[in-house]
Amino acid sequence: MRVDLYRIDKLVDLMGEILILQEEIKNSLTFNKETNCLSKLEVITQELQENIISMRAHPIDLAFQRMRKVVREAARLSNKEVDLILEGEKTSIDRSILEAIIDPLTHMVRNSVDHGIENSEIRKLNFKPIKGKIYLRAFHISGRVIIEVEDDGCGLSKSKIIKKAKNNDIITDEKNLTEMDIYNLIFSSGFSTSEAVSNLSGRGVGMDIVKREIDKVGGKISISSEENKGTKFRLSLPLTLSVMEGILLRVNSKNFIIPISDVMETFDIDYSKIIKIKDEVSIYKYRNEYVSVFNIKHLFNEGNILPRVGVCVVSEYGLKYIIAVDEIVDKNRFVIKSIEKNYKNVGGFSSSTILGDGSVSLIVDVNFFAKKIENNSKLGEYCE
Amino acid sequence: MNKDLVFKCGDHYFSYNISFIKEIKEWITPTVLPSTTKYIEGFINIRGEIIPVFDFMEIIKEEKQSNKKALIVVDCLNKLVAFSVFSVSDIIEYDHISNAPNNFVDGMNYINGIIENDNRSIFSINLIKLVEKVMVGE
Repeated sequence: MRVDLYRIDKLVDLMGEILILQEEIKNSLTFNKETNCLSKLEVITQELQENIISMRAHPIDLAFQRMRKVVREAARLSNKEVDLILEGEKTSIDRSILEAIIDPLTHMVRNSVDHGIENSEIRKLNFKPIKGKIYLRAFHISGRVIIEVEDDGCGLSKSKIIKKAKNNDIITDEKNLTEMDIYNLIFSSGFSTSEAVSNLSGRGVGMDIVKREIDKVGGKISISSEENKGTKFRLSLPLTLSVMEGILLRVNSKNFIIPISDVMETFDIDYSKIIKIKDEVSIYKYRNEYVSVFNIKHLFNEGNILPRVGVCVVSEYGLKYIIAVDEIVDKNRFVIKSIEKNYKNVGGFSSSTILGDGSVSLIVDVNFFAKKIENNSKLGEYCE
Repeated sequence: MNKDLVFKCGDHYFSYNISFIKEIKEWITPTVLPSTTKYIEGFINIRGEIIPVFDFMEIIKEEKQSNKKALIVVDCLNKLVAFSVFSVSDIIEYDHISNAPNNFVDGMNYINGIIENDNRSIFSINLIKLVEKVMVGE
C-alpha cells in the first residue's frame, strides 16, 4: 500500500500537537495528583508516534543502490578497480533524512574512489589486493542511524592536511592539534588534499558542504583513518526529524533543552573542584579529568554566579564540557519546531519546541558552544 | 484605493499595507533569544508556529521601546514575523500618499511616504524592506 507523503506529514504534525497537549494536561493535573490515566495516555501516544514514524521510514537501500552506479562511474573515470560492499541495506531511515543524505553520500563515495583508493601499481607495491574495496554500512545504535563509508585505500595523510591547511590560511600553527583536529580540518571551507584538481571530485568545495548538509538534519560526522590502511567516515543521524528526547533545564527562570544524545551525565557542582582561569574560562575536575565549564548565564551577561547543577555534554568532535544550569526540570520527548522556517539559522540553538504551557523553548546546539570553548581556551594559551 | 493598518509607536503613527497583516495580538512576553543579533526580541508560539518577534521602534529609531501593548503578525517574504508596537489604531483607506521630506532621516529607507488622514500624519512603511532588514539583523 502506498500512502501519500503529504498525509503522513500531516499525521506527524498532528502527533506533535497531541504531545504538546498531553504536556498541557499534565501541567494542569499535577495539582490533583491524578496521573494514572495520564501515564496510560503517554504509553498510547508514544506507541502511536513510533508507528507513524515507522510509516515514514524507508530502507536505506534506496540510497545504497544509487552508490553502485556512482562507484562504477568514478572507478571508470579514474581507471581504478573498486568493489563496493553493502552491509545493512535493510536498515530503515526517515524519508526526509534519506533524501537529504544522498548528495553528501555520493560525494563521500566519490572521494573514497578518487582520493582514497590508490591505483593498481601503487596497491601492488604496498602488497594490497589490486582491487580496492569500499564498504557502505548502515545500522541502528542507541536511537540513531549510523552510516559508514570505509575504504582500504591510502588513508588520510596528516602532514599533507596540515600543509594544505597552512597554505589555505585555515591554520597558522599545527601545535596543540590532536589527530582528530587535523582530520576535521578537511571540513573547513576551501579545502582539498588532492594536489591536482581532478574532474571527478571537483575543486575541493566538497567536504565542508557535506558537513553542512549533514548538520542540517541534525547529523554528526566523524573520521578515523590510518595511513596506507584506509579511511572511515561515520555519519550518525537521528531516527526522526519531528521528535527528540531531551532534558528541560532552567537558567535565570528561562527554559532550555539539551538533546539527550549529547548528554553524558548530570550532577551537582562541587564548588571546590572549580578552577577559575579568567573571567569567562573556568575548568572543573570531573572524574579525574579537567573539563571546561560553560556558564549559560554568560549569554545573559550575568556570568558571575555559577549555578549549582552541571550537565556534562560531549560535542561531535569528542570535546567534553560542562554546561552549568540552575535546575533540571524534566526529561521528556519534545516536538521539534524549526526556527529557520520563519527566521534564520541562529548561533547556539539548533531549533525550538513548544512546552506544555504554550511557551517556546530553545534547543541548545552543543557543538556551537564547544567551538566557542575551544576558541576561548586557545585564546587563553595565547595570552599566557 | 489602498488600505493600511495604522498603529502607534512613540509619538508617531505608522501603517502597514493590509494585505500583509495576518493577525493582531495582545503583547505576550517572547522567549528571549540570547544572542547579539540586532532587533530580535525572541520567539512566540502562535498555533504551533514559531514566530520571531521584533521591536518596531528599535528598527526605525534604533532605540528600544518600553511600552509595548500589541503584536502585529505579518506574512511577508514567505515568513511569518511579529512586530511589537505600542497600540493598533484603525484601518484607513487612502488614494494619495506624499513623499517624505528629504530631511526626515529616521528610518527613511523603510518609508513609502506620508498619508494625511484625520489630522494625523501617518508614515506608511515598506514592509518588505523592513523584513529584509530584520532577517539580516547585522
